[in-house]
Amino acid sequence: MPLSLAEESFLNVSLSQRPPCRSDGRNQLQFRPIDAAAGILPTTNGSARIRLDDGGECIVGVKAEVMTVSRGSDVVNVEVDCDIVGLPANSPLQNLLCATLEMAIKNALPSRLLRITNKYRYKIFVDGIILDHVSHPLTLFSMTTYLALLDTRLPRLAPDLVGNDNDDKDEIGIPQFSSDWADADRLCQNWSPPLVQLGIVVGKNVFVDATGEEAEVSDGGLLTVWHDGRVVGVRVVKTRDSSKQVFSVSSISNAVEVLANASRDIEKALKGIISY
Amino acid sequence: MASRMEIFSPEGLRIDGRRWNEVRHFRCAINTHPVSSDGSAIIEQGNTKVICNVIGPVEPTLRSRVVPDRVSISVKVVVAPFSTIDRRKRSQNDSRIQEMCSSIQHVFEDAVIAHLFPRSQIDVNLYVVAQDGGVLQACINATTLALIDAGVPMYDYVCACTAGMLDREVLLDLNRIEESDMPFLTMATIGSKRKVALLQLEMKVQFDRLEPMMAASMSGCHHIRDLMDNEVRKHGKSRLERGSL
Amino acid sequence: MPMLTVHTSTDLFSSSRLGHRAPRSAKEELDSEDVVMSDADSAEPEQESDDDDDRIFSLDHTETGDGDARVTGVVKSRHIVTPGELVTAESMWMRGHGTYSVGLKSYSSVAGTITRVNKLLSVAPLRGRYDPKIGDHVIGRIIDVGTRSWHVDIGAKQAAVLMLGSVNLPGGVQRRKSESDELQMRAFLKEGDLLNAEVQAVFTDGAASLHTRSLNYGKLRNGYFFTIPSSLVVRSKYHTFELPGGVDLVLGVNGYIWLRKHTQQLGEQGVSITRLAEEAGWEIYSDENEYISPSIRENIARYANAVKALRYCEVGVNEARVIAAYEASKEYRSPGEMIENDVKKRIAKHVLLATKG
Repeated sequence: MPLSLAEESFLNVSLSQRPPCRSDGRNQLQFRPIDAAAGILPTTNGSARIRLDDGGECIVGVKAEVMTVSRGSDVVNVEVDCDIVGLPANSPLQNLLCATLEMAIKNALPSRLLRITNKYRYKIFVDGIILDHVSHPLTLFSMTTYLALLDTRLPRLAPDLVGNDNDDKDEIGIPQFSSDWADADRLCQNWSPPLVQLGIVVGKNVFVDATGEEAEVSDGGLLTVWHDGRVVGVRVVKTRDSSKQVFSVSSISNAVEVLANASRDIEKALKGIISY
Repeated sequence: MASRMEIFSPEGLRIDGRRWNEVRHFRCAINTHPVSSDGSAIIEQGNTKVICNVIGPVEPTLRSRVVPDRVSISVKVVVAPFSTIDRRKRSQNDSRIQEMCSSIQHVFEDAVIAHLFPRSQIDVNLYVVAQDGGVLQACINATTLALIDAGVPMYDYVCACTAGMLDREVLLDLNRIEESDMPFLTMATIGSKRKVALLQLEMKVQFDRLEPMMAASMSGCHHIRDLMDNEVRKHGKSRLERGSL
Repeated sequence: MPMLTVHTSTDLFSSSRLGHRAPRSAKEELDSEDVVMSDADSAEPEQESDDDDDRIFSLDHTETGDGDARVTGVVKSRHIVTPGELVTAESMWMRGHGTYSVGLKSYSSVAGTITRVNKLLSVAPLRGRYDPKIGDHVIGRIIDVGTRSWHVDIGAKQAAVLMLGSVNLPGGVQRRKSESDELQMRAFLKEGDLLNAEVQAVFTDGAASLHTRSLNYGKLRNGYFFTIPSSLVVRSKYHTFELPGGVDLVLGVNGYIWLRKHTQQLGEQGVSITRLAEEAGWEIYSDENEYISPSIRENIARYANAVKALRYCEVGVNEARVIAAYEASKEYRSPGEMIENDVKKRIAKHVLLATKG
């Protein structure tokens, strides 16, 4: 539903004035409260759900499958897919979400974490359903994926096989796994998943966790990929059909700094949900 | 057939410890997504979990969906790739899913008092997030609850339940392992009377064994109706109490 | 202030890994004995259980207490009925919304409470979309411009209609509508525009027809729009309020809300309304906002959050409560603090205490 011209100009002036005044009074770095749960689906290796107070909701399930790899190959096998309800398959938004997340995880995930034996690796499937979104779903999807990966556990090899698989000469069948789920390894024992944040730019101001109407009056958006305490990727995104997408260098570096601070906070909050 | 013993033991116990006429652990909640939809529900039957969102009745978004004398209902089922033990991505055009959508749509076109809302549409979105048998029945039950939450007038609850036939034994509300091992039917009833809204049987079964299967699944439907009715009343009471503040 | 507050779900998803490879903890017993299909033939289809008879709506169950069979007025029952439940088997009652009849018996078609107005029994659903009534002051958004009318979204089951003949056109009431008006309808109201209007008529299928033939109604500007469920709006004589802090609230009965900077309404300038209506110019269809100071903008955000706090706690919204919530919110220096759920609860609690009695 488009906004009326009067609404649009009201929001635009509110957001671009200094200091800005968001329609719900938040400051530029403040997120709306979220409702989060991890480990909700028994058929997955890891799962999470996050709901926003505007009704936006995302469920992510992580599944690991055993794959054979040629000796010495170092490929990180990750596939990210999501279904955005109300949009057709392969919509630009879906492609943006999947491609961004997949690239971010592939770059951040060391291949040794997926190693089973020399011949077998895990392939990780991250599948999301975005049940509803009012604001841009990228941050929502990324946060839910982050939480689901934190929750992910990979089964260990059965104890009697661990000793002799190092020089797997006669490794024939699919490896046997320990059936004790409680014994499975956390994927994120010593690793943090990447986090993608979308900020919107209005005039000289940058905002995190923009509502749908805020994105509707924005000049454009900027996404950052945050991993291991620093920003490892930046991209300019269109937040509405008529957005300008032309930023000055100073506003981009300003936005990156704002988003980095926000990512640090979110990472801390999300990690607090899962207790090891 | 070594597995036969496990599926139904001589002591009369099934693989998960139930007797023949017991339904699985059933939990439901309504009004779970008050912000994003007009009516919503979550159903859990055993390890099968389904979320339902209902939008409407609203003005049709497409001219082609305008029916002059009744409400048009469209059903969309999203089966999550992670809902099964082995990951499987199904496209929206998967014929099994399409068929399930149209079955559900036909059931509710009869159950909803459709002439009250001419020229409007109801969108039913179902999300199967975990499946362990009985997906169709869980979808139907979830849709009923979500429509009730949306305040859409219906003649009665529509409740669905499966029943299978193992040799001469009827088993009620099958899980995934049982479903793969025996012929089974899904039946949906309207209300606590003996009115059948849907009957689906896709495997060979001897004709004289059909009746006991139908009888069993009907009693399962009625039982589920009671469970859902309890939840609706509980929710209604808590709403009234809050409203009286 | 925390940058992100995380709550953990309390619904069905909260039970993590429930039933994962674990023996089932709760078994639902099926109390039915062996069901044999041949019973079906003998069973009467319309058989009612004893339980249903208790729920029949008869006068003994109403809360009037005086037992007079011809009590008039509105009686609301606190008892919940659900779809398919028998409401009454007595033929003396008229059947209203939310019921259907089979023979002489009436059943409920929704989950809700029974309301009796004189001899009319109806069931009011617990939730549902806005149901337009004649005289309601509503806010709507234009979704479609037709040949001689606009389609307006008012959050109801069908879009409402605003006829070209039901709006004030620039040039006053006496002006005749011409063909050129039909050709430039987008110059008055276009897709996305917000307006407030009164429900003039309701068609038999439930769709509403609106009019804006008063200077209280018309295109909205200088403010911010959001929605609440229509069931939370407390109906009153007026739905436009001037609030402290230089803000006006238009509380649409349909749950659509407009908060704007307070401006001198045309009618307040001491000239007769009729004369003004004649002189109404193009400014009533302007898209330009006036200058709105940052402090007014902050007050609008504060009021919006105050109403959203009431929405979160499902407290009915009226003028007194909005003002009470605004006053309570002054405890928080920035309106942004009011988005936290426990702050919302605290504000709603305060409001209920302050406006009691």
